[in-house]
Amino acid sequence: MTTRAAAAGAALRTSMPGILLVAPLVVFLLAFYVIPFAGMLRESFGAWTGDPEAVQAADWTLYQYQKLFDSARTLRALWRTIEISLIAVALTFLLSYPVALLLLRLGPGLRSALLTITFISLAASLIVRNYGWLVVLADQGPVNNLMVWLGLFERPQRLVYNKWATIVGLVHYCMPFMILPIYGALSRIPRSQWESARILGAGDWTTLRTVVLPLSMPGIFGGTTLCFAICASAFVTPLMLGSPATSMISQVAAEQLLIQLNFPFGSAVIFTLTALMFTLVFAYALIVRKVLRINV
Amino acid sequence: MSEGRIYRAVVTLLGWGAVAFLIFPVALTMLVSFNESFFIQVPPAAYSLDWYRNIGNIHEIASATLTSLGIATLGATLVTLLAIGAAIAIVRYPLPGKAALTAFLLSPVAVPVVAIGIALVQYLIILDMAFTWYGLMIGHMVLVAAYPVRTLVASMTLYNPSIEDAAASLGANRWVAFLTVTLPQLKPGLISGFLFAFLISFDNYPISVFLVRGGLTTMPIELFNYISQNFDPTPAAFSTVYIFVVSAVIILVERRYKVVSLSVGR
Amino acid sequence: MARLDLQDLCFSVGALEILRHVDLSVEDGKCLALLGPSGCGKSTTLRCIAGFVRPTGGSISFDGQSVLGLPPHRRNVGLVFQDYALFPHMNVAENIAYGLRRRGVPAAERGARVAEALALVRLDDFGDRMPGQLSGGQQQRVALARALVIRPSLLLLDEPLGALDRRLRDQMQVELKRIQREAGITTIIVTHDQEEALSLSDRVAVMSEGRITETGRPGALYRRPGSREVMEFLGVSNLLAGRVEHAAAGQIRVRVGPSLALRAAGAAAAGSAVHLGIRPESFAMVAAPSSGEGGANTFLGQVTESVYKGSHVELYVQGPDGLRIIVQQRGEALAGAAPEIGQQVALTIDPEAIVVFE
Repeated sequence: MTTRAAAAGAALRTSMPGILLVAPLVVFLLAFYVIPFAGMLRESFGAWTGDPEAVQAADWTLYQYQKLFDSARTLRALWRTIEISLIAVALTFLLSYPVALLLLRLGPGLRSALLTITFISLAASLIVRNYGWLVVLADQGPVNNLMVWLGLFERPQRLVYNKWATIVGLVHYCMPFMILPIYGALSRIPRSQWESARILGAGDWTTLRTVVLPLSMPGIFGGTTLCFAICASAFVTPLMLGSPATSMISQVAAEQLLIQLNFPFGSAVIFTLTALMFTLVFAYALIVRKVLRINV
Repeated sequence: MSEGRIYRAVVTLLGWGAVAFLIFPVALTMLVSFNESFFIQVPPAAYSLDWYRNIGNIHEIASATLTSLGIATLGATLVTLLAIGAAIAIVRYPLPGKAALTAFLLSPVAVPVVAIGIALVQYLIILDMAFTWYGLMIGHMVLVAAYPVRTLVASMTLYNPSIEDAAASLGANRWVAFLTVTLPQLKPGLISGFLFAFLISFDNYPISVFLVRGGLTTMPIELFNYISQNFDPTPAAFSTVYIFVVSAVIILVERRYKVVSLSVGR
Repeated sequence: MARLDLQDLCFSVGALEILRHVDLSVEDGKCLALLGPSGCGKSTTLRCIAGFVRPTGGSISFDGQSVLGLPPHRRNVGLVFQDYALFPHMNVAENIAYGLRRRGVPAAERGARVAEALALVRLDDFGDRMPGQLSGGQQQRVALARALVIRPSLLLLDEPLGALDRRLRDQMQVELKRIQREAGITTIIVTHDQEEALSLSDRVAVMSEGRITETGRPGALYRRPGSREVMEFLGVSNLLAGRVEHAAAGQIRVRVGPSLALRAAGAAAAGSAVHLGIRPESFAMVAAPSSGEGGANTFLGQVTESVYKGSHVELYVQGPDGLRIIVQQRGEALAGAAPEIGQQVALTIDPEAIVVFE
C-alpha cells in the first residue's frame, strides 16, 4: 500500500509543473463556463412557468422538458435545425472539396492568394457576410435581375427570409471551416500515394474515390463536424436571412430569455440542443471509426 | 488521356465556381456601397460616396466600435496569456487525463454560442457582474480561449524540443532558454491565436446580445440593429471599410508570420 | 578540456533499469566512442553527462570534481544533437554566438570567436544564412561550431553522422577527426554504427542492455573481441561451434564437424565446448588440393552465392559438415577471376586469426 501511495506521490510530483501551467485557464473556465453551465442545467429542472403569480412547485422536476416535448413549435424548430444543418453541411462539403483539390494543384503564388482569401472570409464579420446575401438576394438584386432577364421569373420574387436563404448563408459562412482542414489533410497525402494508384491502373476519378477520399477522411471529419456544430447552433444567420416561420432552435431559446424572460424553459431548450448536438457528433465519430475503419 | 483532361476541367470549374460563390456577396456589397440610390440596386444606376458619410448615423457606432475594440483587445490578450501555459503543459508535461483535459479546453467552440450567453447572463446576475463591460469581456473570453490554445499547441508540436536542451547545454538557464528560444518559436502560434481570438470576439453577436443593456453596446449589435431597421446601403459602406481593414491586417500578419499555414490542418 | 569519470552510474524508471552500474573513463583530450544497438542506454549515458537526466545512483566527475549538483547550463559541455537542434529563428552566426552571449563575452571578442569557429568548420562565408537554407552536412558543422565555440570541458556527439548520406558521412568522418584533433578536446561519440565508432575514436566502449560489455582500442577490439556478442556487433563474422580435442602451449585443436578440425591460437581445456570466431577477410583462397582433407587449417567448399562489393567480393561458401561460411576476398587477390557459383574452393585460415570463445 505504501509503495502505491509513494508511486502516486511520484506521479503527482512529475505532473506538478504541468498542472500549475494549465491551472489558470482551467480555473477561469471552471468559474465562467462550467459553473454557469451547471447552473443553467439546474435551472432547466426548475418548475417556474413564467407566471410570476404562480406558486413554485417541487425543487427538481422534468416540467420544462415535458413542456418542450409538448410544444409542437419547439419540436418543429428542433427538427428544422437538424434538417437545415445536414443540408448545409452536405452542400458545404460539395462546394469545398473541389476548392481543396484546386488548391493542391495551383502554383505557390495563386495558392497562397486563394488561401488568404479563404482566411479573410473566415475572419470577415458574419453580419457583414449575411448582409452581402441580403444584397445578392434583394428584390432588385442580381439574382432576381438575372432570373427576370432569362424569363424564368415574370417579376422579382422575394428570395430572402426563408429556409433556403438561411441555408445559403450558412454554407457561405461554413466554407472556410471546411476548405482549410480538407486542404490540410490532402496536402499531407504523399505524392507517391497518388502516383502508385495511377501506376496500378486507376484513372483520375478512381484514384479520387479509392485513395484520395479515404486518406483525406480526417480532414473531412474535422470539417463536417465543425460545420455541423456551427449550423446547429446558428443564431445570427437565421435571424437575418430566415423568418419567424423558419426559426432555428437557438432563436427559440433566445426568445424565451430575451422576450418571455422564461429562463428555465430557455435553459431546457438550449440544453436539449447541446445534448443532441454532442450525441450526433459522437455517433458520427463512432460510425466513421467503426464502419469506415478510419481513425479520426 | 481525355479522362485526365475531363477530370482537371471539372475540378477547375467546380473549384473556381465555389471560390466565386465565396467572393461574390462580399464583392457585391462593395459595389453597392458606392450606389447613389437609397434602395439596393444592382448594377447601380449612379455612384456616390454618400453612404460612407452616413456611417456616422448608425446609432452609437463610434462608441460601440470602441467598446468592441477594447473588449476584443484585452480579452484576446488575456486568453492568449492563459493559453501559453496551457499549451506548454499539454505538449510538454505529463498530465493526468490529458486527452480529456484538452477536449475540455477546446470544447467552448463546439457548444452552441447562444448557450454560453444564456448560461453566463444568469450566473453574472447572481454575481452582480451582469451588463458590465468586464462581464461582457468574460463572456467573449470563454468563447475564444480555445483558439490560442489550438494554434499554440499546433505551433509547439511542429517545433523541436531539443533546441531547448541545446540552449541549456550552451549555458542558458530555464528562463533565459524560454525567452530566447521557446518564445520566438511560439510567435506564429501566439500571433495567429491572438488574431483569431480578437476577430471572433470583435464580431460576436450571440453572446453580446445577452450581456449588454442600456449604454453598453457593441459594434455587431448596432450594425445588426441598423440592418434590421433600415434598407439603405449604409451597412454596405461600413462592411466595405471593415473588409478592407481586416484584409490589410491579415495580409500583413500573413507576410510576416504565415498564420494561414497554421490554420490549415487540425 | 577535462578527464571524465563515470563510476557505478545507474538510472532506472520505475522497475525498468536503463543504466546498470556503468563505469567509464575518458582521458583528457581523447575521443571515446560509445557503441551499442538502439535502446542499450548509450544516449541516456550521454544525457546524464550533459545533465538532462539525473542518475539514480553513481557519480559523474570532470577532472575529479563531481558535477552531479550542476544543472545543464553550468556544466560547460558542448553537445551536438542527433537532429542538430539549431535555433531556426537565428542565423548561423547568431546560433554560434548564443553560448558566448550566455557567458557574457563582450561583442568584439564574440565576433572574433564566431569567425574562428566558422573557419574551423570551413563555413567562413555562411554567417548570414538561416539554418533552413543549409544542407544536412552544413547544419551538422554549424552545430559542431556552436558546441565548440564555448570552449567546453567536454564535447558530446549524439549519433553525429546518422542523418547524413553515405558520401557525406565519409567526408564528415575525416572532418570530424581533424576538428577533434585540432581542438584537442575530450570527446564522447554515441553511435550505433560500428564503422563510425572504429574510425573516429581512440577507444571504443561497447554497451548492451545498460552495461558496458567491453572497452578497448578500435583495432584490438575488432581483431580480438572478448565475447561473441562484441564480435558479432563489430561487423560480419563467422561463428563455429566445436569441442577442444587437444590443447598444447598456446594452441588448441578444435573439432568443428566429423570431417573438419581447426587449429587456433588460444587456451582452453581439452574436451570443453568453445566457439570459434573468424572474420570473413581472414580466409585465404589457395589452389585446391586434388582430394580429401587439405593441408593444415584448410578445407574445401562450394560457392553458393557471390556478391560483388567493389573493393572486395563476398562469397557464401558451403563447407564440409553443413558449415556455411561468409568469405571476403579483395578484388586484386582474385586477379579478376572471381569464383563462380558452384565452383569448388579451398580456404585456409591462420590460427592466429581465429578468436576462441569459451
